[in-house]
Amino acid sequence: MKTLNLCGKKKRLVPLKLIFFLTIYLMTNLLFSSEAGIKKLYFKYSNNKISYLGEKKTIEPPINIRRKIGDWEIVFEGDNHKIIYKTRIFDPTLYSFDLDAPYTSYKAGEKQFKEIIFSVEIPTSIQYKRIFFYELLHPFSIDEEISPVKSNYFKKNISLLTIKEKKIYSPKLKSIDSIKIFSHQKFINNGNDKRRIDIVFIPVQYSESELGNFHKTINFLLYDVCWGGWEDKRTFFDASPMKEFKKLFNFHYLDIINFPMDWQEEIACSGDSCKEWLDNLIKKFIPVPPDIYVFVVKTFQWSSLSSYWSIIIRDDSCGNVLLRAFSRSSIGGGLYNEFDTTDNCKDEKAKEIISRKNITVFTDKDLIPWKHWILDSTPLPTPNTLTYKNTVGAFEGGYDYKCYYYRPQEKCVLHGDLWDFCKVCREYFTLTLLDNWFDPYVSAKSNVPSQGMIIYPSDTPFLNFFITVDEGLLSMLDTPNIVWLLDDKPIEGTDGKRGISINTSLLKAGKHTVKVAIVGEVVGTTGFVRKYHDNHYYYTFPEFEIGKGKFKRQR
Amino acid sequence: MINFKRIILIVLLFLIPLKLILSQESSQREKPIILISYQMGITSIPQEGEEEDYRQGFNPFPVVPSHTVKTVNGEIFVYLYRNLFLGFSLDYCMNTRITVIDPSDDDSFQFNTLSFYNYYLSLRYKYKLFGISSYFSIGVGRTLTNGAESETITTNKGYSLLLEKIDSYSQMLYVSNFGLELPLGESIYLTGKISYLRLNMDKDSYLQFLGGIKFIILKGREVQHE
Repeated sequence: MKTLNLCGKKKRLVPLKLIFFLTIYLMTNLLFSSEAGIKKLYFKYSNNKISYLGEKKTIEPPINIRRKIGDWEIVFEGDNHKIIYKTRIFDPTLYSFDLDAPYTSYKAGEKQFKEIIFSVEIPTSIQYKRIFFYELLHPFSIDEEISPVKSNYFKKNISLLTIKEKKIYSPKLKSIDSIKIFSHQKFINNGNDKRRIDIVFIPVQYSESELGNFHKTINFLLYDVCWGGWEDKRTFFDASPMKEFKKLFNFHYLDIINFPMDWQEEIACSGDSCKEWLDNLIKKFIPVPPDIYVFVVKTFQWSSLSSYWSIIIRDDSCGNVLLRAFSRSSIGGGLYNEFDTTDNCKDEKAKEIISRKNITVFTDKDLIPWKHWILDSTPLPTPNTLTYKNTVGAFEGGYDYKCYYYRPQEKCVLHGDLWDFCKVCREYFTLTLLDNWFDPYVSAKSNVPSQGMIIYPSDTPFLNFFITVDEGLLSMLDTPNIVWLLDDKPIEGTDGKRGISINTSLLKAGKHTVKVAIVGEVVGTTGFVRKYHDNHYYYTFPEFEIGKGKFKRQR
Repeated sequence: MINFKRIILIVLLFLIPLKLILSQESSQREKPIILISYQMGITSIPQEGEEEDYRQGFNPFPVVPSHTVKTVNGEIFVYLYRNLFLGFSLDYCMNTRITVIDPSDDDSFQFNTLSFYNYYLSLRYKYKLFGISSYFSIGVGRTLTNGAESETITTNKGYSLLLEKIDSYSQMLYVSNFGLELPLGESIYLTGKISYLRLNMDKDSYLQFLGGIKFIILKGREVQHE
């Protein structure tokens, strides 16, 4: 230690006691600040009011509740920032899952409970002064769980809490600030970003010299052998339904360095707000916000993890892992995983009563979501034997458990197998793609003038409408037909035609809409899709207005 | 809203002949040389079009019903020979708001008719009818219809309708009048007339009913012929 000699006596520049206390203080600070954990805030909701119960559990809410009663947005407001959480509140008064009583009976305003206790998990680093609660009102649907919050949701302000608690917030923004984006590459380009599924690969924790490995990983995920073995070399797009829907996708990658693993914690975001932050970060390179971000990481506990807008994938994963991640994201409709790794069948508390998409707890055929695929001769549950190798039934194991849950087929990408999707998952994936991303398969044109212009029969005697339908789409439907509709009523004599002409003088004055529906009438004969959600896929032409006519004023 | 400028102009137009009348000595029997009159009334416009002319999208309001429009008139006449006078007349027929109906769905809308001017020269013959001073005249001139800009309006049932642009246009006009005059003073008459107006281009004919005041602004001594 450096000392000074004063008045012939050795004196320390900094007293030892001070050093000791400083060390203790720093260590204590380090110990507590490094605890970048999660804390739970408990609230009580009764009589349309919310009260704060504190961070300690005063009442233990039942944890196996799975019936949601509302989507809520909770906003933590600090001095200069807002942190928005979207969460679900579950109804604690119900313990059993009643399949015949869908969520719709629990619309906002019709709640059948008096009081609920709920908790919100937030990072300990979050600083807040006030908490706002908004209930997001919208009609519920069973398949909505993983869907993004739609724009037509509207908010109902439930209450405002002012909490005096104030934490010291010291964000470590250094690593976020060091992010650098070098370039953007759209390596699979199928056109208009607004009407395609845009997937962007983001390298996480890559340095500039490692970007080459990142490119190799992407190539490996999409094009290299990994499934089917060396002798059966297939690429990502060889698997159905990716093969059939290939033209729906645009794939991009961004050469980014120093993108931190814990970026979400650093910017203290959650859900949609994280996506917005990312959209904004890459806006210069990809102006239209992408649909899915694929984070390629070098180390990760699992090979993949999906939310509705993001996928985390390890850089040594195979294409089927990426495919599985896609099928669990919004693109695939949020299919469940069919892994059967946990054999703790006694852990009843952790189980959910679910029966939808590709997982069920039921073995009664009528309660199985994929019953239209099950032959009467197939035993339920279905034994995992060679006899039923390619049969659709109810095979025990899925949703991470060896028991209790049933999956449709023995082998499936969702079950961790290298081969294709099972028939049920493929159908669900296909229908999700068709329902949400139908446009690219139909190109249409018409001589309808730009919006706001009124059509007068004397000026425009005929309106012409044409469509071009992708043959691949038609091949996916049974007995495909094209039906034209004017104001939702079929136009006589136009079935099957690729173009029609409408005499404007025969139309009543007012607004009209022409739709073209691609119809698959017969259900149950194709091996691809057996059950249509809605067997009409519409293309809607821009609305037009027919004027009453022209009038010549007189004396 | 009161148009003061117009009121002042009308007052002045009345005062000038009055001044002229008052300044004349009228002790002797004199013949009127120059007369002016101001009249107001209505012009009756007959129905235009038939329901059978209805065509969806093309002619949705085929019938413009008969209606009347307010009319103001000014005339100046000059003595020619014996009972004959030559005159110039100017009518201004104002616009009015009328309702037209779509016969197919009873949809309707209102529009302002086009205002127009008539101006013509006429030859007037004065005579006594049952002791009342009356006259008959025939004339020829032109009628000028004011144009209007195109406009998209919404009918009562909420449909869009385009009111087409119309440029001002004029056409030939043939007029015949029958009128009566009741003396109020030596140089002032109360006058009224019925006119029949025939338009060349439209083959339309209107009836006009006007009433007002006539002034003699210049008199001449009657010449005795031997």
